[in-house]
Amino acid sequence: MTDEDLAVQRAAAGDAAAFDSLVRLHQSQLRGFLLRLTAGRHALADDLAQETFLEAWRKIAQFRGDGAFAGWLLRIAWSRYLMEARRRKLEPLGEDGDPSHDPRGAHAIRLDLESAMARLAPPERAALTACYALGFSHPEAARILNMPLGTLKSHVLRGREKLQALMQEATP
Amino acid sequence: MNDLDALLSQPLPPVPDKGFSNRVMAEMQLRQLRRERFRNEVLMGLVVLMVMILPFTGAGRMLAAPAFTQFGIILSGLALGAVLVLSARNSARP
Repeated sequence: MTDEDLAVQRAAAGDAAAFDSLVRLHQSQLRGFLLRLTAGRHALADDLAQETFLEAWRKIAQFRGDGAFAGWLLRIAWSRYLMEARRRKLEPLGEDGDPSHDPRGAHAIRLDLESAMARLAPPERAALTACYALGFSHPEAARILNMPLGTLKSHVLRGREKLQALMQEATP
Repeated sequence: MNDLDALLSQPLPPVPDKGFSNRVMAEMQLRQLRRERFRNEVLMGLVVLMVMILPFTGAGRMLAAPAFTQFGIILSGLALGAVLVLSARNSARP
């Protein structure tokens, strides 16, 4: 049993300090994922990340441990993101990303990737991020994003094609 | 694997905590406190409602008769004390 499994068990029994350690362990990945989904809107990504952790604390006893805890958190985050997108009636959330944002001041090529990513549909963005950057398998990513495996695969394929075209367009 | 795959496979850039975790934990405690307060207020409201209604019911009159015996007074005192102790413990919890 890993330290994380122990922390999850203790948190499920109501230990706030154990949950605190889980928040510290997963905040970077979760906020990075949401930052990409929201096309670099830091405040919105952080609000969603906070709500994700609060929901996770309420429901942690329901976590059965049949997958990675990180995957379970991302699943909550994705559903929170979709709720927010519906509430704001933004279609899709992120395409009109804050032009002043600096996607983490990274290397220019990553900047190209981030701005091209921002032009994909959210499910494509989420599917590519889960499968590539976060390293989840297709079945795991399909479960996280609550979509059939075939749908996930077509999002990955379509997103990748669009991204390739966008990146080529941007190359002088 | 071509360049795009390699680029996509790069891990997400780390996001520095900068007090985020502390804010989450503070909000969590605040919401828990609010929930507990709300629950206590609802319980208190129910008790007050019962105290107001009970004397006018048959069950209330049945309960009132033995309460005026010595044993009944002691029992009522103990019950009231237990309620007060539990309520104080709940309020004192962070």
